[in-house]
Amino acid sequence: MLVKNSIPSGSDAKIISESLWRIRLNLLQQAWKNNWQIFTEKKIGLVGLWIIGFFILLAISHPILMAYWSSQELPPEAMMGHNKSLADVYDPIRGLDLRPGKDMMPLSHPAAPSWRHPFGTDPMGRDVLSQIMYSARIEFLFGVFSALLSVFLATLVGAVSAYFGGKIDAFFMRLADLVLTLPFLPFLIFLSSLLTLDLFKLGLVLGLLGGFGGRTIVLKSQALSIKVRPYIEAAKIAGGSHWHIIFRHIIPNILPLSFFYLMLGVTSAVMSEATLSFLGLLQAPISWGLIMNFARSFGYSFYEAWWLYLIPGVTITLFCGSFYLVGRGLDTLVNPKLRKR
Amino acid sequence: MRKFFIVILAVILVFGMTSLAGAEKIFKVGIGEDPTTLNMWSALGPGESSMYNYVVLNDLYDSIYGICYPSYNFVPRLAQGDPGEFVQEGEYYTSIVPLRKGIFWSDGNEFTADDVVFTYQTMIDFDLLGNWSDKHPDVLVKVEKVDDYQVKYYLKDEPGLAEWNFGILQATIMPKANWEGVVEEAVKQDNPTQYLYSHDVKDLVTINGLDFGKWEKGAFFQTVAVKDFRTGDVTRIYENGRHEIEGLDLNWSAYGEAGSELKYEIAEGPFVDSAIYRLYSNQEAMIMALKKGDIDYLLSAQGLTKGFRRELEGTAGIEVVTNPSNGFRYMCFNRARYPFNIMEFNQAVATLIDRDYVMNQVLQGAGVPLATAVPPGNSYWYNPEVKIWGEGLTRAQRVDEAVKLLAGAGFTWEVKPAVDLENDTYNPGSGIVLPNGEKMQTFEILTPPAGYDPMRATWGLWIQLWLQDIGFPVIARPTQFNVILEKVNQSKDYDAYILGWGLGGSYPDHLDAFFASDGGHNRNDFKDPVFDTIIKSFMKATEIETARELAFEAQERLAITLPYIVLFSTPIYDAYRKDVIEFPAKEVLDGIQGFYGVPRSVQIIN
Amino acid sequence: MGAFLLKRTLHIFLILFLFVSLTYLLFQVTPGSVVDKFLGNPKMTPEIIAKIRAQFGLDDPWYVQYFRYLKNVFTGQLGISYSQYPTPVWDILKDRIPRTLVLFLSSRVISFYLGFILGKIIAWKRGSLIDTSTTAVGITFWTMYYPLLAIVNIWLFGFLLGWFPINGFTNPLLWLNAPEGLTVNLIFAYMILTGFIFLILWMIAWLIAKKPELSGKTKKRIIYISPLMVVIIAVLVWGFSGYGKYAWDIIYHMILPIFTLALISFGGTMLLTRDSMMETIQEDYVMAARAKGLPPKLIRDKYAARTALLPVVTSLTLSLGFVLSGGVITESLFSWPGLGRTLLDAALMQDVPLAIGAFAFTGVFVLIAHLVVDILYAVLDPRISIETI
Repeated sequence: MLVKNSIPSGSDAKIISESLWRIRLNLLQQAWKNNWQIFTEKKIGLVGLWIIGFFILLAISHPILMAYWSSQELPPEAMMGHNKSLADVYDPIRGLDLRPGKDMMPLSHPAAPSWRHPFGTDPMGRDVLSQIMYSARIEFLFGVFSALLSVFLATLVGAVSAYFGGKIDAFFMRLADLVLTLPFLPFLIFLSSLLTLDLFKLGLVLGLLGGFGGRTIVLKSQALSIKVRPYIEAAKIAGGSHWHIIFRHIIPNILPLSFFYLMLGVTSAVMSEATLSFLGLLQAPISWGLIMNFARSFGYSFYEAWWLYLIPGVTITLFCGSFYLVGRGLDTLVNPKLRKR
Repeated sequence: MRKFFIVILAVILVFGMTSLAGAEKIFKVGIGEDPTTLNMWSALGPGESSMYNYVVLNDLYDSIYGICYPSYNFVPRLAQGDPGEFVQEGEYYTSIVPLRKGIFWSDGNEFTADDVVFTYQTMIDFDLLGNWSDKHPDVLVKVEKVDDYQVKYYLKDEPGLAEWNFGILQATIMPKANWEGVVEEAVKQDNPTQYLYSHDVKDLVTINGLDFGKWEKGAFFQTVAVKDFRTGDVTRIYENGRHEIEGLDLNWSAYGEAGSELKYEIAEGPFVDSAIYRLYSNQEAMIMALKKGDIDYLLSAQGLTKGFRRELEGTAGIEVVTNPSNGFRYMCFNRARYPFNIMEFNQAVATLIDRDYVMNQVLQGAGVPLATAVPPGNSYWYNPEVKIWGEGLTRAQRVDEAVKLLAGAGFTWEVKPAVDLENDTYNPGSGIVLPNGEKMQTFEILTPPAGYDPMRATWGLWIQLWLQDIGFPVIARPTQFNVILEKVNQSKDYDAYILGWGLGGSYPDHLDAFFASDGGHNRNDFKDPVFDTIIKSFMKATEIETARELAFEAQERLAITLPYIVLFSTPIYDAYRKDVIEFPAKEVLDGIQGFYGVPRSVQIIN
Repeated sequence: MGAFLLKRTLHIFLILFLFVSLTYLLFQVTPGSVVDKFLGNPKMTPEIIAKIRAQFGLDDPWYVQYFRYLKNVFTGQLGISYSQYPTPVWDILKDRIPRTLVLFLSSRVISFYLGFILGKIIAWKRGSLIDTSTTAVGITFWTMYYPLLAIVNIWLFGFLLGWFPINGFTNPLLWLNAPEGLTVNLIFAYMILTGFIFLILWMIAWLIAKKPELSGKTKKRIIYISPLMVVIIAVLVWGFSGYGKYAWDIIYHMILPIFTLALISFGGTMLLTRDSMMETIQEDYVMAARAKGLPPKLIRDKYAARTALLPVVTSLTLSLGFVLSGGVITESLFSWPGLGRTLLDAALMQDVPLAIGAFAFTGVFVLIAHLVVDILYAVLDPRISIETI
């Protein structure tokens, strides 16, 4: 840093700054390698990554795999007026299995898992496997969006209030207190009666609540410990602007912790979504929690249609668990004391 | 350490091993929510929206006339016979009603005309709302005592059946001795009504054999039998519809000649020692409790769903009874907006909707397709002859029919739907142009969200698809329930919506409330002078036969003008332990739950 | 210290004010109102609904209503519920607080205790099979989809095996014959009282045992035997008072929900303790203790665990703040109508006074918990002084 600031101007600066960029890249590569090694030391994070990979595959393969069901599964009624190329993919929201089974009678829905429907069908005759796969895409987008938003805000707010302190700090900390005071789930339920809560809005709300809530406090205390380090003083003396110091020195140093919270954020966002869906308060065409909600509102109990509970329930658990595992794996990065001696 | 804990556990267990209730006959019912009050004024007033207040309190009180279980016919309860003919007396029309002798309140006082006069006077003085409101319409001036067993009603005008038999006369009577002091105290307050409603009742004074026992909020509610207070009423209903009621100081018959075969004989006890209403906020757990035998019968606001029926039908010792519900779900266009006020437009939409397909194929028979605002379960008033648009047609035929209707009203297309009737196929149309030459703008059908009601959300999806087929730019938008209500009732900012009604009684005066130009619940600005004439004479009808003819005529008119496109109704399932209890009649409009499990007539057989 | 408390109390009032304002604002912008529930009834004409609106004061300008709620909250007069008109809000809350408190407090304490003990053990044996398997089980339950676990537990233990009651907190058949005046809430209150007495006596025992002149064995005796005596006395008192069977009935109904709640949440505490232990194990003083050759169990319990307890206690206290907001899912699925359901129903029905009352009540509780955490930190960790927070 000092190097860059001491160069006045002109072409020289360009050359050096490029080499600086190169140095940075090398450093980054080095750090990445080190971190990866530490990360993989504990199998826990790897297991999580594998499961996430599996879910990514599931989400991507949905349209491909679902072509198998294609038009034969869709009733002629649903085909008409449909865009034909779209109809090639089984529609997990409107699709209805009317084809006769072995005994030439139409399947009675919800049908238990079979070769035709590996995860069974729901009370409206729709294939549960395709619903699970279709929802995986949405859950990914939703979870990552909300977690990114929350961590971005928390990191920024944490760094800023740690660096400036004083009134800004007091304001954000009281705000965090306020957010922490809210009983979380009742508040979301209350919000759902207030506005038509779809996935995007829910992600936004969760992101904002997370971004100004508890995570901010933790990230701020981490940033505080960085702020008192000697090199920050050095940067200040060298004339680095406030924002330069915040973005260049403080934030990069709290990023591992942010990344850790990113993973936990996905878990908690998807969990909240699933819970709201279960209570029937979320407005979405389909989601894992809604599969269970449909079963409940049509009156199919766990005893009568176990697959409508077990399969989405286990899916949610696995999905949330995988991000949590990666988070745990990152823990050793964040906290060197946890590493093996 | 460990030994100590074992000893403690053993001690605790010993305390746990105490014998429970003995050989009492207890009717055990599962309910979904706590009642909110013990105060009947309040329960029928602001507490009216909680069904469970009725469930636990309804059978502790009685009215002068009521509706008969299971036929929903108008019958005397505390009255000694039919109400007297109306006589003009000066500016008023009066009718004298005889009361039964020898019926006692649970505090030992006899039921007399004083109680009746007191109840009506309180209703009028306090202008009680909720369920009380249609018991004292403006037309009722006062009620006077003639002697201990006769009361005289003073009305401004001769009322129709809706106002008289199915309104004023069905008021719940409250004990004067018990409440007089409270009412006097209330009058002195700043807010008398609130004082009356919030009066904390400790000892309920009830009538007709059932009394309040115990209430553990959040756990259970118990009513107990008062054996000495039985009226011994026996109701006999015959195949031809004849009703006979025999009991203490009452021998009454109506609705047909004698000589037909006996259909039901319903005795009133109570035959149980007590009834326990146990709270289960988790319906699935309620079902498990029924299967396990913790409860004998269950009552839940949303009713049993198809899945639970499937589960319970296979269980030994449990009987599931299916009955038609007294209500319907419908789609409705905003008749204040163009082009939704064009009758042919509504007819075309009705033609395109295949109720049978959605209900029986898509929703797997979770409901019953329905096309009129009087459900067939209400058999006396249901008109089976009304026009059902597109009935029995294939999809292509429906499209053909709808195109003809729209074209007849002046709609045109950029690409007209091409129907090939021979092969029963068609190609979708697009770009509908309205009769006034403008291109049709995108409109929305508001439906409750899938999480709230998957059935109506599914209907929305299919209706959207069918309307798009013919070229309408339409979107079914799942919307929060209270948002729909706000748009429909307050801001009137909507194109179309799908909602439902649950109807209280069997008398179809809701047709007036929903569809008359001045109807209290005319939500979509539907105006039809022809219909208005029919429905107003229906409301004024004093003979049941005339009323029926007019109701039929009204339904026929509605089937043509289509203010509501009625879609379906849900069946009502009642499940009970047939090895423990028995109900005297099981074919009931709206199910046995419509009568809250008839605690006065249910029998414990085991 | 005094100045600090004053400052924090002011903060609490400020936050409470913001909290109530926010809640009110949200209700204000929500479409519809409590009278919507009457709209589904064909007998309720618009005129009647207008009368009800006026009765509830919904026609007053928004600022009149707003100041009414502010006044209500800060004077403790919570007003009258709309949805259960005319029951005062406080009466509804009063009924529900004891049962929410008993269920969720005991489940929190049990799951924290379980988590702490397990975490302590696996941190010490890290890398071993016990560590791996316990961590795996802990994470599985910690990330488990709660409704699924609750549904399966009710079905398995309540119905299929029939070990525990399916739902609710009493057996009506037992309570029907209960003596006059004996209510569930009374038993709940006595249970809370018993727990409280137990806690106080145990703390006294602790303080006595801390005296330096006592030998290690006597200390142990005092710490372990005294609570046991209290438990025995309590059981005897309950037994002879004739209330024992009623208390037992409630406890019997509590086992399944507590088990489910503990199962889902012990993992969090366990992992927290584990991490916290691992950090303290590497502290110099623990190293020194090891070097001295003290027995591992002593180091674990006396040296490492005590410091490691700090974040765990913090997290316990914070979570205790939320005990009163209950759990909507637990309360619904186990038919345990407590504060969580009250909040949910009030919010859904737009019963503004009840919702604000319940929200504010739980809010105050949470804020007090925050305050306690700050003080605890200062007391337990000498490195932090009150002035720095």
